[in-house]
Amino acid sequence: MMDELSTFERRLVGSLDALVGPPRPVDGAALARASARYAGRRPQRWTASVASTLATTRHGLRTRPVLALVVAVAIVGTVVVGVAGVASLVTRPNPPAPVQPIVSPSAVPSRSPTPSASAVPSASPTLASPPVSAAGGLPYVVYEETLGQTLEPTYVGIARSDGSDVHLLSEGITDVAWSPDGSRLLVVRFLGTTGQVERLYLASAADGFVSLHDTGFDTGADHACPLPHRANDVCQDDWFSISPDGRHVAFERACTDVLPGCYSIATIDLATGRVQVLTSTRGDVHQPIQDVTWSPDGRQIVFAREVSAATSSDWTMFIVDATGGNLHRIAVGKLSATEPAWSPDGATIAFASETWGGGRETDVYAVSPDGTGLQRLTTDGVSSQPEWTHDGRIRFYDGHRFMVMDPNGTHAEPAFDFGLLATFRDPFSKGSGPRRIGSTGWPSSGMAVQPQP
Amino acid sequence: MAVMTSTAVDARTLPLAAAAAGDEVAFAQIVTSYHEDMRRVCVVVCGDESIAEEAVASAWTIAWRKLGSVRDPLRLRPWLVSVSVNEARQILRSRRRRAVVEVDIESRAARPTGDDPASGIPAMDLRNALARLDPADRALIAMRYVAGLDSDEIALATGRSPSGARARISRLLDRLERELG
Repeated sequence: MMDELSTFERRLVGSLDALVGPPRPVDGAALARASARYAGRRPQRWTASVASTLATTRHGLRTRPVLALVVAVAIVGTVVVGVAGVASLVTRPNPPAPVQPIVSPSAVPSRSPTPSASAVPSASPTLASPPVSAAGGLPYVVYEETLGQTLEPTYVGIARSDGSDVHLLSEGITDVAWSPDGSRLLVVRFLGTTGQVERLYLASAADGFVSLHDTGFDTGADHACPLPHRANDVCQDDWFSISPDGRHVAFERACTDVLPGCYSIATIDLATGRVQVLTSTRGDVHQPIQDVTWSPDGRQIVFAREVSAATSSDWTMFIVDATGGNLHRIAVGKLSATEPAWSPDGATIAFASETWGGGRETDVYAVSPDGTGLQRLTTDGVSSQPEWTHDGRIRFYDGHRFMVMDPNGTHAEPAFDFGLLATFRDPFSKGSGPRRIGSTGWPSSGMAVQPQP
Repeated sequence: MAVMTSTAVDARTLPLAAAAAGDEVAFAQIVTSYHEDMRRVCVVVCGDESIAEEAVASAWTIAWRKLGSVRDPLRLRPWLVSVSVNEARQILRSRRRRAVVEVDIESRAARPTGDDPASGIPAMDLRNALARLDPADRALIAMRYVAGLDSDEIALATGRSPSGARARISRLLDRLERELG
């Protein structure tokens, strides 16, 4: 027990309680699933026994009735819209039923790290490189809705920014990635209901991103580490990025269940299922890779790698050829660099630099791929997530809204208004009534906006 | 008012030695006693339920392997919380950052006033204030006001001195009160 609290501390405790939700009984089966997922998808010996013990002895924490009331009130009070690359959708208690068809290849292997060509719908007319202009109009937004003061997501949907063309994408989605021209959407979702295996699906602008086409490619579940010295270990795949021609997907492959671990950049040919590891790092500490992005000509891949585990913000950008080799670092001085975005003409890479002082500060910078011409484009300390528009401007997020600016950082203006999305009548929402746009700063959830048509 | 947490569990009664020796039933009892403290602290640290769940699952995997390094039962809860916080921060660093647009439905029920601690601070304001803190500072706030760890336990969990932990939390509290009070 703590000492008596001040008035503000009492308010803080009550509000934090509402935010994180009341203590709840331990779900041993869910714990076992989560543990298996995080620990390289390999079942942990102890979790089965723990789950069984919990189930039979009915251990559980005491719950407080007053908190249940707070949460119930909160559910009708606040709606958060966003998308997260998270897994909890699989374990939510009452997931909404998916409403769109999933198009399966004729011979999808059940657990295939390298699917056969026949398992991939490469000839599907809906994936035949439709120009983004075919979609036309306002950009699509993949979003996740979370109800109440708690952070539990409810579903992942997609709609245009004015709220039209809304439909559920699917349940069990863990990540999404847009192709550079916005014509394709890569969807990572669990295969089945076990929460053990993730698979890649593609949606197309041609049908308004209604159908999910099964690529037949499973992500990291039970993939053997590609490195000879780690052949008996398993890996997880993440940070997927579609090539400009839509034929390949680049991703990070992490083998970190046991340190020293390794992180790799790899590509998969969606027509053949062939996986090629481009470069790997090995170390005694976690040095993750993120923000995998193709060059506009599809010949190179830029990514960010944490170069020191001593701080939380020491990241550096690297470029590697899409066929492997020619790995080199982009020199940006002492800046920590993440979220690289290659300009359509290939001449510039915009990126975000994050620093920690009294709090997190991020700004957008630009540099040429050879490390020359470094420029700071924003100075507000809250801007990040740069993306290039088709007309050569840079779209970014200022912590409250999407802005767009010239490539030299001038003429910043709102990119588009989400007011309509905020007020549209989402048929799946449990909330109602007038709404207003706000913002939150958590980095792990949010919305994925289609590159502008 | 005091923070109600699993501090009600008398750590000295937990079968630490048996769990460290591989007794899965004993380990399950420890899981039951502290899982929620760890999960709820991690939710504040990373602002994401699923990352918190992953972090705690990972922390239990570590705990299963390394429980034998904890000799004193009174050090168990701070150690478990610190392991889960470290895992949460590690996962958080590797996750994609996306924009969030929050839509707030106006409701009297959602905008309570007064000093009732169960009503408290508007969720959006609290989220924004927490997001502006360093993850390590969010962890301090969560350890103190969500898990109810005292200064000695926080010191064990963070490597600070008890007085240093108190001073840092006091400064954080002043900052939050200026922003939210």
